[in-house]
Amino acid sequence: MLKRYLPFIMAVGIGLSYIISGSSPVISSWKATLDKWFLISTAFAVLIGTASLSQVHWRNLRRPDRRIYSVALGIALYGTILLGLIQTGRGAQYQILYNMTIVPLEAAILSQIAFYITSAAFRVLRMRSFEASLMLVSAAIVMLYNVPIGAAIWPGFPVIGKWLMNIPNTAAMRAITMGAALGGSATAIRIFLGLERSYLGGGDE
Amino acid sequence: MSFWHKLNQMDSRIIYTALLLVLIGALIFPMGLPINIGTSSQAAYDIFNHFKAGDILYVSFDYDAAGATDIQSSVEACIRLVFKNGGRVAAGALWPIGAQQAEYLFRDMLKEFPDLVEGVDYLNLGYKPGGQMYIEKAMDNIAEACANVDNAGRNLSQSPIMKDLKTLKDAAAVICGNHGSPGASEWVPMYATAYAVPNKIPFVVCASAVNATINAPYVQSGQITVYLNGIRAGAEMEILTGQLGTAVAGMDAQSLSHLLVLALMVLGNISYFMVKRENKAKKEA
Repeated sequence: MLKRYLPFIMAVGIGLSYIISGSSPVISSWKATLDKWFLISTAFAVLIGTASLSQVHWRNLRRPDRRIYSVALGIALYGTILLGLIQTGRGAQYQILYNMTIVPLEAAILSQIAFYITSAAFRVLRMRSFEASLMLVSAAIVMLYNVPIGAAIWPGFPVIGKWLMNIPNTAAMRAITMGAALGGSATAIRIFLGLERSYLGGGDE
Repeated sequence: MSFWHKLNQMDSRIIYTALLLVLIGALIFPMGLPINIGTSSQAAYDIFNHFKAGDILYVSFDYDAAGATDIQSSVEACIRLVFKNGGRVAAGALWPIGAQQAEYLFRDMLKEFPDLVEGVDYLNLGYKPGGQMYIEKAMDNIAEACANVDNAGRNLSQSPIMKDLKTLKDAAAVICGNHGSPGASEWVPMYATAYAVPNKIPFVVCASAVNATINAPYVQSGQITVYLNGIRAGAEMEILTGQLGTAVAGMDAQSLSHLLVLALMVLGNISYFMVKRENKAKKEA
């Protein structure tokens, strides 16, 4: 009973009190306290994430096919934490570790996307229908708008590209943002009314 | 199998190799295509070139090493102008790796401006979790939002710069280096709309190119004062500040790789229609 209702009461109570404290000057100091609680709890989320990741990879150690990856992850995770705790993020070895591993690895992973996009552009952007043709032409113009060679080929490309970004794209993005905001509000109302309980981990019954 | 069929089903490895050759070729033999200065880059240059001595710029490094390829050159150019004019810089990060990016950039700046003193002219506040809530709290009290410690774990009261930076409202301008969430979407409602726009404080976003579509409404509405888009803006800022770097060097590679993608799109469509025609002819036969 307690396990089921306590998290729900806490979520609704804190959520409603936050909304009220934001609009009422009488209890505005409560909002500052809640802000502080939130910042502390998000910092704890990092700890929970680390514990959860460790748990998964601890289990993987029993599986020979996955063992090597989990060991590598464990060494990287706890080695970095340990080095950070000893030296802080400014230590010489920590800097070397960062510059020699994270920087090239992240850059390499991101740059791989360029290869996949090139291959996808060849295979997917085909004039199969009117809509697909429209997308193809728009993609080509926006691509040329973003690079100096576009203006060198024809000065009209940056003009049309800018129009595409500012008018049709902005209109679509506004619609998506408003839709997401309305969806978020609807979910919040459902949580406050007790209709949405999937966040408690027990389904939405 | 006909030529068009083969072309239509071209192996990905051929495409990857072609792109690799184009990129390497452009980097080894730069063409030096002219880079026109856009209005956004000029506006950013004007803001930071007129920064007064002692003014504080707050920079939020909301990106990682992957985003840095697109963003860091713009951020670096803006910070360079601020230091040149005697301004001060405080850095925070809503992304864990962002704190390291700030550390990386300040280290480079020290080579250029060896007289800068940490804690006096610049300070790295480090990674602060909470996203939107951190910004809201920092609007009232930065020290409390940072749990009173900087990136090196020192008490913030030890840094003289913090005496003039009690809240985000004390910053003469804010830059958000944006590669995703948390980033500009969090800064716009909590800082730009609530404070920067009504008080005419510049809020500059240096973003990776993929974020252009998401941020376009905020630029159009004026919630983002200046939007520096990707490596292109970085190259323009490098030209304006007279310090040519990786962004200018990468522009030819970007131009040629875009041309390759366009050429492949054209080839793909020609082969698609030719195959379709061949199939139709076979059916009729």
